[in-house]
Amino acid sequence: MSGALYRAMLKGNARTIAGYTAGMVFYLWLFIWVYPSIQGSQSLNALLSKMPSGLMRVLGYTVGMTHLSSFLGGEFYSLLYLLIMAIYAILTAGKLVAHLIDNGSMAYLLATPVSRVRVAATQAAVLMTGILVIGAVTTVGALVGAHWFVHHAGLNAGHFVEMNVVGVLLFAVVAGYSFAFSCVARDERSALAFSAIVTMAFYALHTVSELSRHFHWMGRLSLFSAFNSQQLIRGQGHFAEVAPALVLAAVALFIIAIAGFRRRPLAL
Amino acid sequence: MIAVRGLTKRFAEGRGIFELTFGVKAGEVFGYLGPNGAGKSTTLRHLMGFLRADSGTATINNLDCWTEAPQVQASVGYLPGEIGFFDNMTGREFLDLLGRMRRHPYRDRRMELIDRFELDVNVPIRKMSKGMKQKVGLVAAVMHQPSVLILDEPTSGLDPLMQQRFLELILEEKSRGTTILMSSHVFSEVERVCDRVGIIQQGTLVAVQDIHELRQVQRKVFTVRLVDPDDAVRLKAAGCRITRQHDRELDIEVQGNDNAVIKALAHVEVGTLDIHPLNLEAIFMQFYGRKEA
Repeated sequence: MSGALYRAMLKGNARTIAGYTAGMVFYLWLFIWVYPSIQGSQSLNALLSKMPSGLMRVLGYTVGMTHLSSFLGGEFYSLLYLLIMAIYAILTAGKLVAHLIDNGSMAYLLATPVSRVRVAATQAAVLMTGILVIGAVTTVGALVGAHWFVHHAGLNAGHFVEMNVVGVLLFAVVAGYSFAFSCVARDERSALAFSAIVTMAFYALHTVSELSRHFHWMGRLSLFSAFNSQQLIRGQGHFAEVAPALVLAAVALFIIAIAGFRRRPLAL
Repeated sequence: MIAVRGLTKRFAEGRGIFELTFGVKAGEVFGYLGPNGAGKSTTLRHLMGFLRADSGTATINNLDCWTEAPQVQASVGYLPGEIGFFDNMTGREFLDLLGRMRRHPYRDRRMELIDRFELDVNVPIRKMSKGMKQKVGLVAAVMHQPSVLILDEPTSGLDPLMQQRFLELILEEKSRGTTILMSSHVFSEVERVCDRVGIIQQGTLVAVQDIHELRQVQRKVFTVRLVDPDDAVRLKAAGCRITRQHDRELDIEVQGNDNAVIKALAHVEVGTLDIHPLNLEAIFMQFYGRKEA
């Protein structure tokens, strides 16, 4: 790590992080704000109960929509949250290494006595700081929003925080492989393409696996299966096993990324 | 100080650098010349530890440039050939960052350089012209007073006045004992500051020459306008090499024998006289094996 580089890079990315955080909290509050009007709708819940179970799993509803937690877990955390976090992780990972190699500015950083390993580790820390900030503010924002907009929200704060922790760790892994692509790909475009393809493939596997029991095995191949927001928000998501596994995977990916960066040729 | 031994790096399509061997002594200014794409930047990237050689070694201060890159960089200043910066930073923020990464702000030296190059460091770098960016890069390369300077096409983008300031800076660094390796495809700028020059062509070092020796073999052309055109015969008889004659005007090529030519000229009526030193460019053309300048 280089403290000076970390501060400078964080400052350069502060707007981006603030933007994603603000966007996330805005959407989250919008969801929480409309929830009471949906909650009261008996007909909607009756309709949902008549839908085929496979379709409901794909849409993220396995427990109906009678609680704010299942509404958020099924609606917000099964799509928008994933989308915003994935875009942040992929784009920022590309920007922090591959972009600097592409435009040549990496030369100035590596022309200082700070080693490649330290430069890469610092950039990784900047990337992770963003994910932590977005994740943490979203968590607090949701709890505050639920308190403000919904009477008797009935949101179990402990389980909700657990779900968010798993969400952050999930994207630590996404950031990990995106960062690895950023460190070793020949340019930023290919780094972004690889990261996006892998992420979409994981998401597609997860979605298909939910459709029918025949495809259930596909879920085991998908990273996104680790983030079962509906189960986690009710405290049934195997937090104790999932969280450490994600931490290990993320750490391993970042180590691979930094090792790759250390050895790669750089035309600077 | 800088030692390159058998350095080879092959790229696709037969490009790269092949078996390069040369050294730069402490306190020496070495000009690294060659046309675009000859392998100048590739060589410098090996010295900076950005590329790993297929075979051979590059060392600075006896430290291997690949395996001991961070230690090497503590004493090296580098100006990349491609100008790329952090778009959102101002010049000052950028220089601050590099100073802090070197754990020293180098304030006085930096201010002096900023004044010298008339640089406005409060402008965001993305709004700077190419020349301004080049100046920021130069300040970044020399502000920490490194003992070795590696400069890739340092004067590109600088206007003539700033080129002059740059050459003064190089001479100043040289007098401080800094070892300098600078690449260029403009011969005249190297001619003025370098002690030795190496010429690279298609990845191979074709010559390493002492600049003083080069000067000695440097040819000059005296362009003489005679009052009486028949005097040309007398000059020829006196041993002058006439390479061009057009009516009364003729070119006499001179190589180290200025005095003889002047004596010969003293015996004829000279209307006007111009002396053009043939620059190193012309001398180097023989290495390149092509005629165009």
